[in-house]
Amino acid sequence: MPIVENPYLALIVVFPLAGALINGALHLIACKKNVRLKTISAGVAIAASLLSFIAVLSTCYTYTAHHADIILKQSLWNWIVAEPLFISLSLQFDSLTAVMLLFVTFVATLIHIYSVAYMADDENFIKYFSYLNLFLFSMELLVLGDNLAVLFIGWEGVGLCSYLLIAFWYADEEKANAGKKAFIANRIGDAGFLIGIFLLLHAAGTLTFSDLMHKQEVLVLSATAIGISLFIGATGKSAQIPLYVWLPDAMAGPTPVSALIHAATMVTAGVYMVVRMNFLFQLSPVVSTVIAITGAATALFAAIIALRQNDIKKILAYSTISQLGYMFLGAGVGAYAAGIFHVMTHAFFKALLFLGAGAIIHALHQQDIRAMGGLRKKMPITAYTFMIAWLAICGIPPFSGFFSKDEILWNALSQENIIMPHLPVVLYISAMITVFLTAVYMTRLVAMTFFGEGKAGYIRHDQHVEYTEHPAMYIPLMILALCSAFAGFAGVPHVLGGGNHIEHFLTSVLSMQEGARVSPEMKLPLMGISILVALCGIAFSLYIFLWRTAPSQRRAAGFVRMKRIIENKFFIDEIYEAMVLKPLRTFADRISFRIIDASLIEGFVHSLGPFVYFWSKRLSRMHTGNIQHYVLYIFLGMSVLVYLMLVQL
Amino acid sequence: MISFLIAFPLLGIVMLLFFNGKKQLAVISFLITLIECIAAVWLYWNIDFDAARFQLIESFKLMEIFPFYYTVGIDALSFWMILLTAFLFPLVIAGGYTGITKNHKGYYIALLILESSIIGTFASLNLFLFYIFWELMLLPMFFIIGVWGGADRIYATIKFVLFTMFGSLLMFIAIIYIGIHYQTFDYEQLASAQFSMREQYWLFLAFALAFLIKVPIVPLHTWLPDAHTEAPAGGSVILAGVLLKLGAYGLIRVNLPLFPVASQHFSYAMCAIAVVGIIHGALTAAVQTDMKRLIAYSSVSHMGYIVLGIFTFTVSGLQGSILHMVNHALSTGALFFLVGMMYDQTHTRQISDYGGIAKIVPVFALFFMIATLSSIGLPGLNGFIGEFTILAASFGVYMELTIIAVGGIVLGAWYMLKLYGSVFYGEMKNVHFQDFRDARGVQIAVIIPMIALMFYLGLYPKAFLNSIKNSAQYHLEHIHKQF
Repeated sequence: MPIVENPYLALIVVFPLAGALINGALHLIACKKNVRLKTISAGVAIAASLLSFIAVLSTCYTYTAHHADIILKQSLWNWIVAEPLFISLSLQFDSLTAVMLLFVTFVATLIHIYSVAYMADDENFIKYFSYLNLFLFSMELLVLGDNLAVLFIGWEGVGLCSYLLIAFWYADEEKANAGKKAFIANRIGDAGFLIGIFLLLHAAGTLTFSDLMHKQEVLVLSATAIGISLFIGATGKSAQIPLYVWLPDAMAGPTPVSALIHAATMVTAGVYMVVRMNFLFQLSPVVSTVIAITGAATALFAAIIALRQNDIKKILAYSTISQLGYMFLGAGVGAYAAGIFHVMTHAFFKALLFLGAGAIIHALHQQDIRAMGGLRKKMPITAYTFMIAWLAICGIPPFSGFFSKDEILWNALSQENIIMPHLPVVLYISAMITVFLTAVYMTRLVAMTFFGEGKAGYIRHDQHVEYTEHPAMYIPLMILALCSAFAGFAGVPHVLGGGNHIEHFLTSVLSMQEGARVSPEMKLPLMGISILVALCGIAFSLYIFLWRTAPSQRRAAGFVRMKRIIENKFFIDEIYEAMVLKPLRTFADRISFRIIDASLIEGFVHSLGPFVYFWSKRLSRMHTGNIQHYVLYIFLGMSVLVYLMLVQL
Repeated sequence: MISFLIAFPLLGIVMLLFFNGKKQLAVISFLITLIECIAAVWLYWNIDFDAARFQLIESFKLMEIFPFYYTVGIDALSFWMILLTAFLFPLVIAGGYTGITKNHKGYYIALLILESSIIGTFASLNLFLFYIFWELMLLPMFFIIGVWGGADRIYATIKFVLFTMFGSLLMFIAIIYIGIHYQTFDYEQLASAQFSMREQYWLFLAFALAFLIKVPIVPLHTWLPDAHTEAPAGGSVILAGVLLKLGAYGLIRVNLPLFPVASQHFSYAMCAIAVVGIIHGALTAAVQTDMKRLIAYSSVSHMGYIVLGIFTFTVSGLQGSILHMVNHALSTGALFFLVGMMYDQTHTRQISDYGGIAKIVPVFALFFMIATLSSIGLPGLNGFIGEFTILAASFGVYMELTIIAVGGIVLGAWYMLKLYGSVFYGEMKNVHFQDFRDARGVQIAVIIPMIALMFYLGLYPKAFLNSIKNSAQYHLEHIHKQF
């Protein structure tokens, strides 16, 4: 692919970086001088994000103006130069970057605007916008990096911002700990990521994507090891089994942060990375299979947990984990374009869901859906936009989620797996169950929040609550609703008469596999099945949570037990605590610190003192003052010396 | 020029004798170290980084019957170490000023002797001279910990001196042996001498023991937490920033070029104990309850990376190690400064006494966060470059050890964020902290240069890495000839 130098790429990242720095300075000034700078701060932050979006748009224009497949590149400076290590701080812009940046900066701008209203009363308003800009900068760097090392700067940068924003209300110990948990879980993934980078450096000597793409023959041997290592990194950042546990806790952060970082953008970085490195992952069927299985399993597992959550943000968090599972399923079966397509549509509808939830939380100061109900009449804009997102995530056409999700499902069934021939069917069925469960838990959420009366026994705050909908909050909701409704048309498959534009747009980055197992004629009926499954889920859920007036009291014991296990999220946090964290802490405290350091080493060191003292006391007895003794010592000493001289000679 | 750098702080002591006021003494010694720092910076334009040879050599004979020369000179490696020393001292005087409550004159005299002897050690090109400066360093440090330290200072300082003396005793024997058998202490002559295998093994071990105690590497590290914890803030910064580096410097300067066969023979063992140090230091740091003790153990972990980089015998690994020596001085130095500044107000180092103070001291919180991030190796800051370069180099040599060492990165995030979270986040537990004053004037001026360098080395390490490339190659030359 021809490379075209473009000196303006850096502008995309410069705006949010400048915004972050200005807001950081404003924050310190505001702390010292106690002045109100909120308007300036919000203005700077939104302008930074908007300008960045405009820069992306104009770069897209430049990019598409060249008709051939090209890569726009800008080399900033040589970063780490220590032979044989050579890493340049360079940015690149191709079709994958374009898709990612477009929705990242677009959604980010909307969320910046929304945050102005949501965070209006917060005392750390300016700091918040500084972090938000810093996040946008890191995310853009992650997507723009032309090599894995620059990607890794962004990767760690978004992790840092995620930590800072989850722990934003740090006075609450639990929230501060949630931030720490997120960072450390991510770090475990990053350790894998780093090992992957080292393996790549060892095998190919470079980290630049465009160079690696042409070095496939040297990567063949180590592709599995590299792929697995990098994928471990992805499971951390994108909250997949086994490292997903930080994401539900991350909901401690402000809701717009959950929308932006923990739903729309940062958590999809793992998917982006896998798609970016698709030429490598394709070399190893083992890794691809692992990714597909992990994705499908995470999707199903998280959907099950989401069924029994009552915190509106927790439901959405598990839903995000589940949807990320779909994306990895897509990437694992080679449907990289479909994966990215779902990343994009998911960004719209999940951001919308979170922002809607944020509007409710902002009004009610309440996150428990059992204490909600009937909000449809009181917050109509929130309710109807939320419902568009609900239909999108359930996969009802023509809303966006349907097209992207169905493309993944179709690929999961149709791609051949050379390691496990029956795997596609298993993956497909598992994904279908997930479709059903998704419809169930999302409908439960919608039914309990916007319809009905709310569960008895939960305090309603109606009397204190003013159900106002701030324009800065509902305008972003409406725009996102439009996107959630229509973004799917970017990838309407051929069988429905569409052009699947997004797949064509991305072909330059991806090497597509041909679906061979199932004939394309099957595509339409399969689509029908998935719609039917989703509709069944919705109907089932509506019946249970809305229409059924008197729930039956007869419950099997097994069912109740199962319910308790799901309510407790399969006790995964507790298992990790007991199996990993506690042993590690105990080891550090008992073995490393107390036994090795304090007892063994220090014990030895401290015993030297008495040892020397003991012997010097003994030896001092030789000084008797008796001349005969001293003559004896002289004689003995002389004898030894004479002996030594004789031996030497 | 080099002799001026060594002698100037000692001459400065004469100046100090004429003053008595607390402030006057601080200002005078600050000016002396500042001039010293400017002089060290001036060297930058006077040495040739492309040449691997020693430069600005000054040499004359000190004794007739004994091959004892005063020979000093620098190359890129010692230049950066001298600059680092000269850079830290003015900051130590400015930043540690409030922590000193008695016998001010003695404190500054001790600091100036210390600076002189450290620079002397880095510049010595004669093993005997090296040894004299090496031992001379102990004296002021003994008093700095023992007089101006915390509650347990006597125990800590005696432990520090005994550990170090034990190591240097063997080094002294080794130096005498070399002097007797080769009739010279001159470094450059010895570098081309051929030691027999047997000699190399024993001499390597004798020198390595002295240096590894100084680094320190597990299991020779237990003096460090005590010394760090009890030393005044300035002492801790010098200890972490420069004195530990002398151990690593010695390994690079003496062990690698003089005993190449032995170095290769012991390389796996050295890397293995380095990795043990990384993990053990990190795990132990995670369970500390005293802030300074935690940072001290984190030093053990970081120094493990440095030793690992040295014994990969790759140019890039050595470059990474030298860079990481500077990185560690900056991040750990800044952390010790910040803890010291907070201690001056709160009089406690117990982590559990703190909590939720980010709200009342936002500038401290910001500085501490940046130093923390530098320490845990966030890309964009200096710590990452060092760790990345070292690990990338060692991955090609000892893959399994490197994979374990990467685990240290996770543990590093764990203990540092635990420290940061417990001190700055959470609820304000201690009501006495209400009138805790945020960083001001001098304190900000001390931290800002360190933070600026963290960003500079994190974003543009190329200049530094390039400048030490030839020096790194020089120190590995003999080893590669063996292959």
